[in-house]
Formats: sequence, C-alpha cells, structure tokens
Amino acid sequence: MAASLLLACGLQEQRLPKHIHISEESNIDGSFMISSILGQRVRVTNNKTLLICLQNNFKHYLNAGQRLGYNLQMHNGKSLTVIDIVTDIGTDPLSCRWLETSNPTETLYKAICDELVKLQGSVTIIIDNLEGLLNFGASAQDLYALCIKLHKYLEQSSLEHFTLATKLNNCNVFEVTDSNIETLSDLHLRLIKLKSGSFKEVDGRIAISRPSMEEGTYEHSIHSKNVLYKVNEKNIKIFSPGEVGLK
Amino acid sequence: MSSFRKRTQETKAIPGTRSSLYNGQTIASTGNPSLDHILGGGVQIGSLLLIEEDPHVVYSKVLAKYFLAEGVVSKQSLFFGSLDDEPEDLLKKLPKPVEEDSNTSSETSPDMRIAWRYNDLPQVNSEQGGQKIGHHFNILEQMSSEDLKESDISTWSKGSFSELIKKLAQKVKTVKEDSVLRICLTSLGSPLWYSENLEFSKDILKFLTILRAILRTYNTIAFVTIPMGLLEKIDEKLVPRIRNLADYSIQLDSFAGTDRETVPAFKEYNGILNIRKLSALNTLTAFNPETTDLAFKLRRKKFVIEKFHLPPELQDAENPQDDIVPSLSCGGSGKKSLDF
Repeated sequence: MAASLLLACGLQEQRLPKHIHISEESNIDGSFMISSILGQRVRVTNNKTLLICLQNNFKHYLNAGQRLGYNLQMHNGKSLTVIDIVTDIGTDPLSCRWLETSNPTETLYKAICDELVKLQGSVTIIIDNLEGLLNFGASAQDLYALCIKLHKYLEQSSLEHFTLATKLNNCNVFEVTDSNIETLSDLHLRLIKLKSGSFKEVDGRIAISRPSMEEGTYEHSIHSKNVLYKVNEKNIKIFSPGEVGLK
Repeated sequence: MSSFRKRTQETKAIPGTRSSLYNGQTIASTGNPSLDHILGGGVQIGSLLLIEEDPHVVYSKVLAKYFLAEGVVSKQSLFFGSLDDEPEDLLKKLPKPVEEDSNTSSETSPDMRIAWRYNDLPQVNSEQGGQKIGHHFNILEQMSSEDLKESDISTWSKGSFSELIKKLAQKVKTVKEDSVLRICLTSLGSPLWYSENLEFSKDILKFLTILRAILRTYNTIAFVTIPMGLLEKIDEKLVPRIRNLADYSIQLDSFAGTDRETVPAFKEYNGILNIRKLSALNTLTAFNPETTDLAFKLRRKKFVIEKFHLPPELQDAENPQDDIVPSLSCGGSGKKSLDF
C-alpha cells in the first residue's frame, strides 16, 4: 500500500539509515509518512519499534495503519512499544509528568532509555513530532541536545542495529532547528507544499536527500531527488515530476 | 437474494452524531449545514475546529452560536468559555431551531412558458450543503429559555489558561461515554488573555496542546475562535503553530471596513472563506472539498457559505456611455478626450 513511497525514499530495506529526519512544512499533513515507516518496521522480523506519540494518540496510528494494510494491535506490547504522551496528557492534564517539568526533553530521554533497556536486537525509535516538545516549553537547544544524547546512547548500547526517525512539523518556522537536526541525519525527507496551489491529483512534493561519505576518504556528497505524492484513502501514489500520468 | 452480509460492528450511536460517508469516522454537526458540507459532513469527534475571526468579530460569533445551539438541540453537554463575551448573554441569543429549511419551499418554481427548455435543467444553487445533517436554525429568532434550562451547560468567564484547563478537566470527567461534550471558546488569545509575565505565546500554545490531548482522549469536540490578525502582530510564528494544533482551520476574511466592500464583484457577499487546514484524523487522507473558492454571506435568517462566483453583469446599465473604452485608433467613437 505504501510500497512505492518506501521504495522512492529508500526505506524498503530491512536495515534503515541510523537517523531519518522528516521535515514537514506548514499546511502539509505528513502523518502518512510516519504510518508508512511504522508499517514497514513492524513487518520486519527481529525488529522492535518504539513509537513516541506527540502529534496524535495511538488510536490514530492504529486506524491509519489499518488503511495501509497492517494491524498495530497485533504487535502492541510485543514488537511495538508505545509512549502515548497525548493520551497521558489528556487523561491527567493537571498533574502529568510531561507538563510538570520545565524541560520535557529530559523526561522523554529518560522514558526512552527506560524502554530501550528492555529491548534487544534491532530497534527503531519513531518520534512524531518534535514540535510537541517545543509547545510544552522545551527550547530549540533542548531538541538538538535530545537528538545528540539519543545518538550517543544508541551508539554505546549493545543493540544490533538502531534507527531513529524524527519528524518536525512547521519546519519552515523552525528553520535553524530543522537544519541542525538535518545535519545529524543520514536520510532527510522534506515534505513541501506545491507552489502552484492545491491540486486534485498531487498533494505535495518530497525532497529526498541522503548525504554519503566514502570510506577512507574525505569526499562528501549529497544524493538528492524530488518526487510528487498523492495520499489516497488506502494507498500512497508516487510520481516523478513531469510524469505523463499527470493531467 | 444473496446470502452475503457485510460484517459491521454494531455499536450504539452517540446522539447527535453519525458516521461519515467519506471515511467512516464519527462526526457531529457544527449547526450550520454549509459549514458541515465543506468540512466533509461535520466535525470529527475528538477534533479541534479553529475559526480565524473576522476583524469585527461578527461572523465568527454567529458560527459559535450555531455550534452551541446544535449542542442544545442534540441534548449534548456544553462548555462555553470566553473572556470577551459574557457567556450568559450569548447563550440567551442562541438561534431558534426550525423544522425545515426555508429554501426548500422556494425551490419549486412555476413552469416557464417561453424559455420552456430550461424546465428540464436543474436549478443552479451555489450554496454549499447537499446532505441534510444536523438541524436548521433561524438566527432572527432566539431559543426559548426552557430549552436552555434543560441542557447541561457549563460556563467560564474569568481566569487564566491554567484555570480554564482545570475547569475543562473537571467537566470532561463528568461526560458519559454515550454522550459528546461540545467545547466552545470564543476570542481565545484576545488582549484580555495576555499575561503579565509576557509569556502569552508559550501559554496559548501549551493550552492548545493540552486541549487537543483532552479532545483526543474523550468524546469531545471543540470550536475555538481566535483573532489571528492580532496574534500575527505579536509573533508571526504563532499563526502556523496554532494552525498546526488545530484539525480544521477556517479563516473568515470579512469585507467590512475594507476597499472590497464597495467592489461590485463582491457586493453579494460579506466576505471570503479560506480553508486553511483540513487534517486527516484516524485516517490517511483528509476530506477534499469540491471547491476552495468560497464566500459567505449573512442572510436575514441564516449564515450561508457559497461557491464564490462573479455576478452575471458588472456593467452599470443606467449610463452605459461611461464605460466606453477609448480605442487604439485615432478615429475612436468614444466621446471622451484622448489621453495624448
């Protein structure tokens, strides 16, 4: 259902890049991207997924996943662990641990570490979305520090392989923060609104960039490409810019 | 007859809600059929509808009244909070429900004898709203006080963001599972909300994040009107961040007090309605309206959203000679003197 999207973004493999960063521009709904990655990860055997819900509650990912042909309920508690911050706040908005602190990134880091201790093998951490932490009072530096700390922790851990997927909404508003996190990533996906306005057959553009450094040399290059996407009720279609199929 | 039967979960429907035709999610009416239509049938349970106020806060208040009136008629619990409006005063002015849409009687026109071919063609109606959902209201008349007494309404009109959250948290816990709570907050973020510690921007974002979390957790829907024009002047970044926290964002761009008020092309409307955001909640894709070129007008009895179109004739028929455009040739027929 999301195979063409995963293929276009290079996310179809068993071992994904260590850090995938998704930047979402204002007035663009990129939640399909998280649902697609989540669907791919829960299907991979020997992979544990840790989902951190800051944008929507778990119910949303469950329903969206069913449209894409996978059932998260089957994996929940087994290969999938969920830290549902939205539900935590909704259930107890007056004395919730996420709101009591001035730096929620610290609380999140501890929560992630507590869960990672229990996991082994290959692990994928998905954080949707980092802007939620800014809304709770975290600063841009706190976000960057969180990403660096997670990188360090994962590198030092005994995990076979890890992938950290982060998403930042309103990336055009937080341009500096976004580009700072982008520099840490191995695969950057930017969801861009169409300049020409709304269009029935295409929802937006994905700019995919993957920095690569050849081993043993100092040569650094960035491979980038652009694709157009259309999110349908049960699938995501990908087009190349100027493709004949577009009317 | 086929023995095939579609397997469906038999769940008890919540009063005043129904299943969406587009994505199967539970939706509730906003009280205004035109607004419901452009949102895909209604507002999804657990979502936040943001109305970006017009500068004079006329039309957004009308929509807020519709939202509250629909809750009263559907026997749903209501929570109304505002620092600018006195909640009791606004509740007294809720529109009265009407049995049938007054438009339906006028649709049956007599047969045309000269242009008889047009009899077979469907009537052109640019008003948004095809399906009958929710209730119809007459804004000219007010709801009876008995109806209001019977309904479960909580109000809030004094305090800060944190006090409002406390009150909301108490209210949502009293709502039963088979009922919906309608939260209506008007002029959120107006100057009366500014705090002394100059952390207004942080406070409003934190409040909306918590409100959104509450909405997702319980059977609630929220209708929030925000003066975006004012917030834009405080912090430009606030506008996209607030829109990101809403599930639906509608901007009411009123013509009142602007140059467009006197432009003949706009004389049929009171303003332009811009759909800023329609998000996909519990599904992959958001509802895609037929058109995004929309305008609104406040008629005598109702608020209507229509597909924006130019009037059939813009020329002033009384004095057509004024509109003669000078031709390029020297022997132009216009009586006006040439520019060179």
